[in-house]
Amino acid sequence: MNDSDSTVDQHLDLNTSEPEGEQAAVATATAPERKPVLEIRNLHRFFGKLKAVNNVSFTAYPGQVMGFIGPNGAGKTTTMRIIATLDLPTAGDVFVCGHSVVDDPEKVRSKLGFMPDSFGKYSNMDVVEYLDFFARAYGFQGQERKDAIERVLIFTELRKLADKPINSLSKGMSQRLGLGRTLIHDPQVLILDEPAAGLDPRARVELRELIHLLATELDKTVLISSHILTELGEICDSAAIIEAGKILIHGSIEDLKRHRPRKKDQETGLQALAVSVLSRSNDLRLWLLEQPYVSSVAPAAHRIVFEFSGDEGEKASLLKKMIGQGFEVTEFAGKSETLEDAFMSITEGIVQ
Amino acid sequence: MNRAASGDQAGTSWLDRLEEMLYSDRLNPVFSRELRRMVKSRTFAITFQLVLLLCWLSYLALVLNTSTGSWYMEQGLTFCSYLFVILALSSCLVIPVVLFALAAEERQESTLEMVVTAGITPEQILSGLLSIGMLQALLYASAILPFIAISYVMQGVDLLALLLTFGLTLFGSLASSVMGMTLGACVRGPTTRAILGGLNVLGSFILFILTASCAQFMLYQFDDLPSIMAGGVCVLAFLAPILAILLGLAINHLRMTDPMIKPYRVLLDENGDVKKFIPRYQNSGYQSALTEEEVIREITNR
Ligand SMILES: Nc1ncnc2c1ncn2[C@@H]1O[C@H](COP(=O)(O)OP(=O)(O)OP(=O)(O)O)[C@@H](O)[C@H]1O
Ligand SMILES: [Mg+2]
Repeated sequence: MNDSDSTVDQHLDLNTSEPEGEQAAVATATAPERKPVLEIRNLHRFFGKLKAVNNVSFTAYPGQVMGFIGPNGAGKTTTMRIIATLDLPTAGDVFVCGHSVVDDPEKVRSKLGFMPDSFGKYSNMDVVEYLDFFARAYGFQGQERKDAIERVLIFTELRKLADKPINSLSKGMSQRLGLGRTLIHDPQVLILDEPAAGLDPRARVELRELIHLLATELDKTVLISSHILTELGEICDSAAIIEAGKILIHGSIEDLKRHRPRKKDQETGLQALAVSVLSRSNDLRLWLLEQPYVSSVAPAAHRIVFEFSGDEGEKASLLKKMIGQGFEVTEFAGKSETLEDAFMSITEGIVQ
Repeated sequence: MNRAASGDQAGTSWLDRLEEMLYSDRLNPVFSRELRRMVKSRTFAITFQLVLLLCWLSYLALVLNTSTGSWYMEQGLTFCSYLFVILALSSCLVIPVVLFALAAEERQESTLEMVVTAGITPEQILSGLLSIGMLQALLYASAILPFIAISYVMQGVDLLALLLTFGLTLFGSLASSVMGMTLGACVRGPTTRAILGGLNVLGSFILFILTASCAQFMLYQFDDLPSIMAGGVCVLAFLAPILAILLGLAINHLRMTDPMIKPYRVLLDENGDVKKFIPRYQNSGYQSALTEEEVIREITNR
């Protein structure tokens, strides 16, 4: 092969020993002892002139729950469909447990469970019959098939509804069934496209627990797309943010929360601070507005968030003055970044 | 109902054992799925009852029309020809419409994606649907069978003619099933569904007329066996390639990806940005490397 050092070979198998350079470095940095089970390499998907997926690369490891976050039309579903062998990339490749989606789609399918964002339900069919069909499709026979179905029914707690027609299930229950269906062949990798969409808070918490169980107990790798960022913060341990077909950032949730891409923050030394008081928060707000280095004071019940441009000494004297004014301060801290903040600042300004 | 996976007492009751036999492991998964749905489907039950009703009505008409004496020869043949019209009606007109709906549903309800990721091939889907269609045809035929027996007892009908006409009707049903399935597999949205659905009804109707009139011809002109055989061979030679083409078309339409398309490899520069796209499996990659614009132009064309 004529690969130079700057070429990323798209169809090398993990078994063959090819030079991997950059990829290998990323792998060892995140989890040195484990092989990635999901590896996306320079994935491109163009629809005519539209670059729905544009050079996306990331990896996921066993036991990892990875969020795939992006606004509408970012390319999440397109990427997931390629991973699930339902579409072919324009360029690049995806490896699931070392098998390429381009060269070995059958092997990929046996290692992977895909739950589309919306899936139809057959009429005249029970929950058990539905699962039985997919168990047969995956080649389970006899007792093995019954066991697989039973395992899924127990895991998703659908045992009681086993004889119910599937199109009479509630949204939450059919999402459960959908998740159960992806689990029937005990795949290593799960691709869930917006599984929490349209669920009530309770169903969402239950789904979250199921996914958590899958990752921690069964060591599955889960890639889960969603718009609900706060939800993802609790389910996922890492995330990739995609916008207009490009990965903007990819890393652990903690890293993402700390991420501050706004250059002006570093340049101007602006810092978000939060102060909580027992009472008189309105007075405090007005008082803060008169202080030097303080700007954009945001009101809240007992917690006030403001931006501060002074140095550490000036911060200390501000607190001293505040207490001197008789405010009963219970908390004075740097405002912790939420995932939502990170998302907003990362995706800022890019409109598809 | 006691389903296969209901654990505890499974395999003990005769119902379970019957079901296990019926839904054996070697069954095509699509066929077993459709068999379960068919058992509960109202369309099938209603059609089946209608077939029975029509048979009874024509029997009644036969009895009422018959004054005493010699109703044997002529009437037996007339009755039998009615029965085959009923069979052609149910198996060449109803079944293709049902199969059309089943095939179209798969893509419209986006269940096809799950079926494909579960490793089911388009060939399996088609053979599953086709066998459920043929099973329905056989069930309708079995409803008619007792009445055919009556017409045979009346005499005037040749046993070989009966068998051949049965075969002919089943073949008509097969042909219209393949057509319904293919048209259903081509459905993409509500508009194509309406157009192709209309086309399917029209085609099924034509095939019904053809099958029914061939059946009449066969029953009444059975003396001329050689020319019937020759006609049959001609029809087969004409229809077989058409059916093969239709099946190929349906298989293509049920595929999610084109196996001929091979993605490009990506040549990156030092910053990890895309420098060139290289067609896969091409050793002289550098000469034929394309820019992003050229790739877009190429994929827009294909
Ligand atoms: N088959 C297709 N043909 C043409 N364009 C497509 C096709 N599928 C997707 N697109 C386009 O690709 C872009 C990415 O779509 P995609 O469905 O991947 O977004 P998404 O991130 O899943 O969005 P959402 O959050 O709304 O589900 C969109 O602009 C969409 O219009
Ligand atoms: Mg989507």
